[in-house]
Amino acid sequence: MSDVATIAHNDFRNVRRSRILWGVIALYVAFMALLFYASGTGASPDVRDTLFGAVFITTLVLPLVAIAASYLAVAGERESNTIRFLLSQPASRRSVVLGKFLSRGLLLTAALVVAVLVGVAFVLALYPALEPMALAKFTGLTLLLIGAYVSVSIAISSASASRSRAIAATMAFYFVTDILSVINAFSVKAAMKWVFGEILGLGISEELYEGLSTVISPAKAYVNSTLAIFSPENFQRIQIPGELPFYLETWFMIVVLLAWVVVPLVAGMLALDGAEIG
Amino acid sequence: MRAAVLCRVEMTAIVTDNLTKRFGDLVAVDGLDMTVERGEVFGFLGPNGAGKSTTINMLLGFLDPTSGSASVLGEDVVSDSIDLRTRIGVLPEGFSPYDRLTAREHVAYAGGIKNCDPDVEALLERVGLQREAWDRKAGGYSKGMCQRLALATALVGDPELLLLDEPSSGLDPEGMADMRDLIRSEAESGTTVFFSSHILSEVEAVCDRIAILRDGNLSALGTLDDLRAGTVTQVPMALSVEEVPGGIAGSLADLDAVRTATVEDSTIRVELDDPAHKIDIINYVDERTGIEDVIAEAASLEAMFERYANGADQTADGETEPAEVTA
Repeated sequence: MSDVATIAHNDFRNVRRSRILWGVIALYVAFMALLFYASGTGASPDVRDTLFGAVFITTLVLPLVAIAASYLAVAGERESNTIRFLLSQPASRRSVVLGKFLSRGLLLTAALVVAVLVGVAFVLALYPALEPMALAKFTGLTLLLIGAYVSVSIAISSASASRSRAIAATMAFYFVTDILSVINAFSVKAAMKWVFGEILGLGISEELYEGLSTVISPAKAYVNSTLAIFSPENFQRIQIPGELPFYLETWFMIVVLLAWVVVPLVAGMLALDGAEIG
Repeated sequence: MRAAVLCRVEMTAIVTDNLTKRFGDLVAVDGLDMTVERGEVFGFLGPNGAGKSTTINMLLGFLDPTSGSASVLGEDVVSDSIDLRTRIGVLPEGFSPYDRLTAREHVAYAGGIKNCDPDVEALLERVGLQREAWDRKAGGYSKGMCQRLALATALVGDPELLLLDEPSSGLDPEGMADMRDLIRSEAESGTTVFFSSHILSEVEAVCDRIAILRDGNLSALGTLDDLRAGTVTQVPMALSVEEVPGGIAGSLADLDAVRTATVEDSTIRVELDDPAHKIDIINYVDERTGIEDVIAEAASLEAMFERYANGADQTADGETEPAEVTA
């Protein structure tokens, strides 16, 4: 297993010298800084209020940053032939996938930590209260979002022999599971309702549609998981009619996100294991 | 009996047994049986597309054999690939470095995965990579510098076997000479060296034994002297004629100098044992019909090899060509 650490270390060393990647990360940090600053200088600044906007920005932007940082992790090595150097060493292909995941995940974690620290600085300067629990929950749940999208991107990268395939597949995944899942009017959920409800005439409850569309989208699972921060008791904008089924509770959202970290990673290992490096 | 088996394992560096690789309908390597002994410098020669890289890719575990098996240092290439790779040093085909890592970092990276602590500077010195480049990102290296760096990473951990895939590609004459010196000194210290090339002079200069691969199979294997003495060569030539005389193929084939003769449209193709007989064939055909053109066919690998090995450096049309196999 020591080769995982070596690969992660050297991959991190290589990738952190990429200026383009720093640019993409800086964009996310800048969005967050702007949000915390703008809310902080408005009337009656509130951390939860600001975090509500932060979840929105993070849901749309951070998966894109994760994809940009990860989609070439393995496919790029195959296209540029550097993988021959790596696999000529006694490194297992599974260690390559795992090492890449750790390295790219660490990069995204660093981006998140910087963004949150900048946010905390603004909170300390401009807000009446810090609300550390809300900030900590936001950070923890966002880490899971990062893990899910980095894992999927690494898996797709491991299954792709070329750069173009990797970018096509990761972007398709982003659009379906993020844009088309979290925007309600035009969403995968609406499509499911149309197919199952209108066409097949199945009587499926609203909650079940929500649950189904959540299981297939890490971004949606992330958004729903933030109920842990914005519970109806402490956040006016969130209203829940009646009792939530278990599969829409926060703990289940965390299970879904964890599955999105583990399952693609295993699939990526198997894909690279079976790949012919010709 | 058991002792004999152990002895065999100890003495061989690479064994392939009916090793075969198919890509769809294409048979890239076709039942290859080959043994490389320990301590020898083994040249793996063949034109591009003969199956050299496919064979090496199977030895390294990049590709799985379709059938047959192979072992390197007694380790099976499929089931013991990781153990195998800890004991060998590889210069992969078309080595490409990480653009944003330095030479030092590449060598250290190889050391990290091999779990050893290489003397990075000594290795970079040894392969002749100029000192100014050691801390520069490899993205800006020339092809020759990349090959030197690749060799340095291959030497990490003092491997028992060096597997070099086209090591001289991109090297200038000085670089090629350095490469030969390094191969010789590694061989003297007991390292087995297996390297592939499509350049005859490369292989001839340093190898104890040579295998020539063609169409996925061995067409010759032995020491240089074996090959010089034993290789039966074919010298192909083709004549474009005004009108093909009846029965010419048969009568040509009856001549002592001719191994085979075929006719296709207005072209007569013959294969000779000796290029000196070409003029006789031209005269023979000229007596029977008008010759429009004498076509110099690309010589087969063996013919090329034979001609080079005999010291001749003239091609059929009299131009001096490098001894590079282009069949």
